[in-house]
Amino acid sequence: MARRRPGTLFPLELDILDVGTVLQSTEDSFYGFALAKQLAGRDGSLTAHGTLYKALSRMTTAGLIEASWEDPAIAEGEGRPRRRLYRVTGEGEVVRGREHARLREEERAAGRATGAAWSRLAAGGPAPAAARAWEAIA
Amino acid sequence: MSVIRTAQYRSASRRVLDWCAWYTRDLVPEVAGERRDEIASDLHDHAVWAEEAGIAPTRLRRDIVLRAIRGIPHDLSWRAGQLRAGFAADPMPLGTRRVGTTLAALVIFGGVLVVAFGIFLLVRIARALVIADVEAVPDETVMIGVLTVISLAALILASRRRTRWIGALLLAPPSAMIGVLGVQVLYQVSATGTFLVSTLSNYGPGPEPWWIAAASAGGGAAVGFVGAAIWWWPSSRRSVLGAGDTGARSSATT
Repeated sequence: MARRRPGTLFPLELDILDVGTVLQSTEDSFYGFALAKQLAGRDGSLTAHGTLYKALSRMTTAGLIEASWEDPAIAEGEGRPRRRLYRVTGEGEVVRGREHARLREEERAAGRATGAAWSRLAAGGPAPAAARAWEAIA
Repeated sequence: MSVIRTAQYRSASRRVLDWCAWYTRDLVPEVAGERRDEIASDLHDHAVWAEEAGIAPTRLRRDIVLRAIRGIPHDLSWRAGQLRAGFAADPMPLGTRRVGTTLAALVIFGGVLVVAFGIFLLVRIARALVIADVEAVPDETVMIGVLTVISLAALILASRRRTRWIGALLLAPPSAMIGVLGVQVLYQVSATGTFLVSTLSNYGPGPEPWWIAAASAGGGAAVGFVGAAIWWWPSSRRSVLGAGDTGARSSATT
């Protein structure tokens, strides 16, 4: 099982916050299978039950989303089991924004490092790792 | 026919809900029920979506089962988290539950060792008789046979929750005796046994070292089995947990 870096979200958790925000903007809330459909991979594979509902449970406990059960009368009227409905909380919105900012910063840092390596190569010098290797050989 | 009514969907959803019922066992009814309801809702929504998407029932069944299988590690991890968070239906602390589980594993492992040693001794005696290594059946043979049979019965009892305490108690006498009897028999029927006992007998005065070693190991094991039996003693279990049997120890003896 993957380990979380402190202060970060798992990719699935960020996806849930992203998709959940979109879904609740039109439906007011979202439910498990609606998320699974939206999160489906390119091959159409749906997120596993255990993976999805464990993440939702964990995020509910953390206060990133809030859960409530659908009115049984509505479910009964539509002839299906009642759904557990979720909403992204204010805290979830803050964490989502912070996580996207962190990811953008990481991308920028990676881009800067790559750019610096290319510049060094273009100037005729090897990249740092290669330079160290050459020094070791020499 | 609606996909929801097909045998393929019904069998797949039944399997997933059976699995869900299994990993939510022992959790407080509210938590377990919410998980089951949420999975049931997901399965229904999945079937409705599959029908709208024109997915065949056989493929739906495969997709549902694969979704469940891929999620098994997370289901189990979620369950462990719920138990750690104190959502166990049984109020017994998790630490006590773990001790009970470990103890059960140790008792069963010990029981298997005693039975295996008894069978090994009987086989060695039979072999020695067949190849005429010994002229007569050793005196200890009947006792070893009886102890092995008792151990086997005890092992079966120990493997069942309700009778675990009887099994542990029954394992105590064989474990205390079979070591000493075994060394005596191996001295007669095994060249290695004869060598080891003779070598050990050369060390110091007093009781034979092999006897001390075998008796200590057997006695220690017997004390352990009796301790385990006390841990699972039924009177204390009933007094705290009522009629329901959890197979683990109550707080009365903590």
